[in-house]
Amino acid sequence: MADDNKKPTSEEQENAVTDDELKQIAGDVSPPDEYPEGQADALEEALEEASDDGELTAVEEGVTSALRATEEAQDTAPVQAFDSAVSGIQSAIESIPGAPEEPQDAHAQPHLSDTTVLFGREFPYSIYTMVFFALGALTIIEVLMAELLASVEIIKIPLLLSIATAKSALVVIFYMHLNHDSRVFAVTFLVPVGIALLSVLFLLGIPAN
Amino acid sequence: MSQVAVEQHHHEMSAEEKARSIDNQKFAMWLFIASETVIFSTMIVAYIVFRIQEPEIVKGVHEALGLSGILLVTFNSFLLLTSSWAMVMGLREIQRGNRAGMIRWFWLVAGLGVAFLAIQYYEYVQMASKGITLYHDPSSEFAGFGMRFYAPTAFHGAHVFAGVLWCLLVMRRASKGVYDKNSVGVEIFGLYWHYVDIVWVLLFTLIYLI
Repeated sequence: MADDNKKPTSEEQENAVTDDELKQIAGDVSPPDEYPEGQADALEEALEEASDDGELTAVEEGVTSALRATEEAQDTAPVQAFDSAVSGIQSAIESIPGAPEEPQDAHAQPHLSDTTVLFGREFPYSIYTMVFFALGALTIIEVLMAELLASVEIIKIPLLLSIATAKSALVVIFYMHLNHDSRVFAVTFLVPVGIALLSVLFLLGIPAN
Repeated sequence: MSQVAVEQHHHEMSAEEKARSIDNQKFAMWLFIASETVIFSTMIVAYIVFRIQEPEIVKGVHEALGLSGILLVTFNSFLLLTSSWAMVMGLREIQRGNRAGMIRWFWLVAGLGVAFLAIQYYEYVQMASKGITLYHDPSSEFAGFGMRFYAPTAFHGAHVFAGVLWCLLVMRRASKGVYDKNSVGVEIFGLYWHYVDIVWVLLFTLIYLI
């Protein structure tokens, strides 16, 4: 903060280029869509015109040299390969099903309505409350099934696992918004879940002691 | 020249840049959830293998718990499910621009989280009194169950505790208006809280009902 408040010397004030001049120079060399040649020369000329003595400072010479080197390198194989790779990655991301074309689309507000239409009928509750009712009902069904089918494990276990999976899916889809968020998030979550299920199957194959 | 560069660097974030930043934050949270899934999976898989290999011990534990014990845990599950609902209702309020409404819902989230932990502590005391302990006693009728039970449930409880603290922090930031224009911080906390809820849904079914 102290440096910011330091007053410039008279020599610095004489050599200082005004903000308008800087913006004009920067505007002349704004990044083009492609790689037009001659940008380095244009920058050098603009800087020389802006300078009082027509000489470039060391920094300005460095910048123009770097720009000139970039122009010379643009037709080389590595640069073209890099461009191709970046274009490929962009195309791959855009081709993911459900990936938003515009980033803003992914952040549309969730359903904020106070009513929910289900099977053609309108309920006076938000979708979040409807999901909560479903979760509560499924939990009650789970406990009842566990007690009523206590001795019939071959039916009880798959049934209870199915209900637990359905409850988890409701939370993930509606409360964690995977129904309208990017599919990349779903893949990120489902891959380790799949690995866990595979590990269960693998461990089930190991005989007991 | 440098002034121009600084000016360009510190310009206002465009809508597209903001959206990408939000994407990155949410993606980071999903990656964290993925890593948590791997950790919880090891404990859940260990329990499943024990359940398959020692069905009589698990049946003995369920009988020791009794219907009252199962109903108590069911009630606790309802507390966590309700806290998830309160969480998402709070998120809805802040997205509608109602900061006070969000904070009211989040008081409920934090309160239900604390109640869940209190009941879990009571349950632990009850189970310990019945001889279900971390200590592996080969002569016990519940031999080997304690570690398989306490490891995932206590690890989950630690997540609930961390979630309650995070909830209080979110409420404090919300009261200062941090989320008035951008509620992604609330949404990210919500992802965590709902994930903790999902883990409990699975633990409840696997440990207490099957």
